[in-house]
Amino acid sequence: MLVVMAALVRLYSQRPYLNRFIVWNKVFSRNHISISLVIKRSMSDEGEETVIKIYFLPTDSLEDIVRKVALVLEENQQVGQENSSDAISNVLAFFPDFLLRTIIFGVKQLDRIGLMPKLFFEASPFHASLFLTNLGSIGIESIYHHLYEFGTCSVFAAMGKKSRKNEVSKDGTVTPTKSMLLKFVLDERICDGFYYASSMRMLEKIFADPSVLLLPPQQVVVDKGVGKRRIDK
Amino acid sequence: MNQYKKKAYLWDRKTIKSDKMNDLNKLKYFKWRFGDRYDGWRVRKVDAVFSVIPYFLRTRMDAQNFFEEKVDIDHIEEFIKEHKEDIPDLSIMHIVMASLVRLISQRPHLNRYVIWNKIFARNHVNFSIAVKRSLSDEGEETLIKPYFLPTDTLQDIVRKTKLEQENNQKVGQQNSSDMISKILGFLPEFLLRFVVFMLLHLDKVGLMPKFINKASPWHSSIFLTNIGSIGVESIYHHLYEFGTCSMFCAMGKKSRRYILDKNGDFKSRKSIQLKFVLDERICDGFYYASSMRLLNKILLDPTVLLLPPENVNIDEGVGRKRIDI
Repeated sequence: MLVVMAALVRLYSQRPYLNRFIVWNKVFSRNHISISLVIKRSMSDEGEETVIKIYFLPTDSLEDIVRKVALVLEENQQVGQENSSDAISNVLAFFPDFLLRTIIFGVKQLDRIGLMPKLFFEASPFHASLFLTNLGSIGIESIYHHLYEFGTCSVFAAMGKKSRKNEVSKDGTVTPTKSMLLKFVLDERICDGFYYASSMRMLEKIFADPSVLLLPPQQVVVDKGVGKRRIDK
Repeated sequence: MNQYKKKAYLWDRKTIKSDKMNDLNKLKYFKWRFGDRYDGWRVRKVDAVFSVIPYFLRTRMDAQNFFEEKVDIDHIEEFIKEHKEDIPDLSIMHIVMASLVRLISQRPHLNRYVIWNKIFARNHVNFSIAVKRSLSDEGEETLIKPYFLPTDTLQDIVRKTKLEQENNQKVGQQNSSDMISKILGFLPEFLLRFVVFMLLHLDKVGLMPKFINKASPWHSSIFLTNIGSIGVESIYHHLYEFGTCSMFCAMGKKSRRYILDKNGDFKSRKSIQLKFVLDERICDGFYYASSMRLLNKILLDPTVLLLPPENVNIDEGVGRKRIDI
């Protein structure tokens, strides 16, 4: 999973349009890279479930990714622990139905105009570059997961279980191969099909040689659609 | 449980009409309380995150996930041949239906639904199935809605489905959904829009007339379609905004593939594809995944469906004392 995350962060560093989002009919370029994950605090039906959001830099290497993920997991994975999204949910769950509906309506409308309180933004898993789920870890095949109407997440990636198949090569020899299915659901409004296709080819290339992830990328491509002068160099 | 068994035995296709049968199949686990609906109990004992999510993901369209399972059927076909005489009319569709009923009996969260941001546990198990009265482009299409009990065996499923089909499948026959559609079809557009708008909103507060709920294919545990029977591959079918159906299952056509085993020998396998569209607000991904694994296990050994389940699990999210034991 960490290799998949690192490959996706690398992809975002080279293909910045993937990190765009649409809110209220307008296209925005995200000023960070974040991945939302759902985690179970214990592997049982009754086990608490929570969501975490991990922030990365386009220049992060595999080592950085592993470190950042481990840090966030440590802060969130213990049974009984409470993170910001748990805390907000706990508070919201106290409100009666009609009031909760009004609050959430208000939050959604404020988000449209960019005025949603930052604490909601920090806690919301729906405001991220990518939502990732590893269904392989619970032993099932990958799924197509809808994109959320609320929030700004434009890409949902689901990892399936590992499967082994025997392939026949040209000379008739049987080679066992192990594979995993990644299913993506993408918002077609942030970039065109050609851009997506080229990005997927690049992702395949990274997976074919994950050693490139050990070093930071040689260059980071910035979304030129913003059309402004950079102030950081 | 014995109570339900007894009721199942009471069921007699000659004397009990379909509607009466539906009442017999109602689950009576909990007492009705304010906040419940006539077709479900309010689920309150859930995590805060879980109870808040339906307010953010307001519609079923904004909460659907797409699963698929390839099911090997060589052994199922063998099983059908073996039981040709003691269970006449048995088909793969009945086995899939019986497996899903068994699944719901063990994984009751799958029988939940969300309406107006609130989670409910359905007080019955039923399927909606689209059937053609004759297999032609012009053939009338209608929907049947058989009701089951969590304790039902494969034999019960076949019998109940057959009765429902007999009551509905003759060309020219009219069931309650045909009747309602016909009446609504007579209304002028503006009036029809108003009536449907009212029905949608009454359903939100649990006040939609019961006869509409009984006739509606969108108010059921599972919407099942066997498009394999018309020779096409399985599809992902969206969930409906109207109604309470949280799960759509589509069965594809039988297909044969050859797999290569470790020794390099080819083996033939016959399979069907099941595609599910599920509402993610009724239970979490882990619950769905475990349920899918259980479904696979049941389908691998359909003989377990010949007997009622050893125990039936009740939705603990309702958080009340049972009144039936």
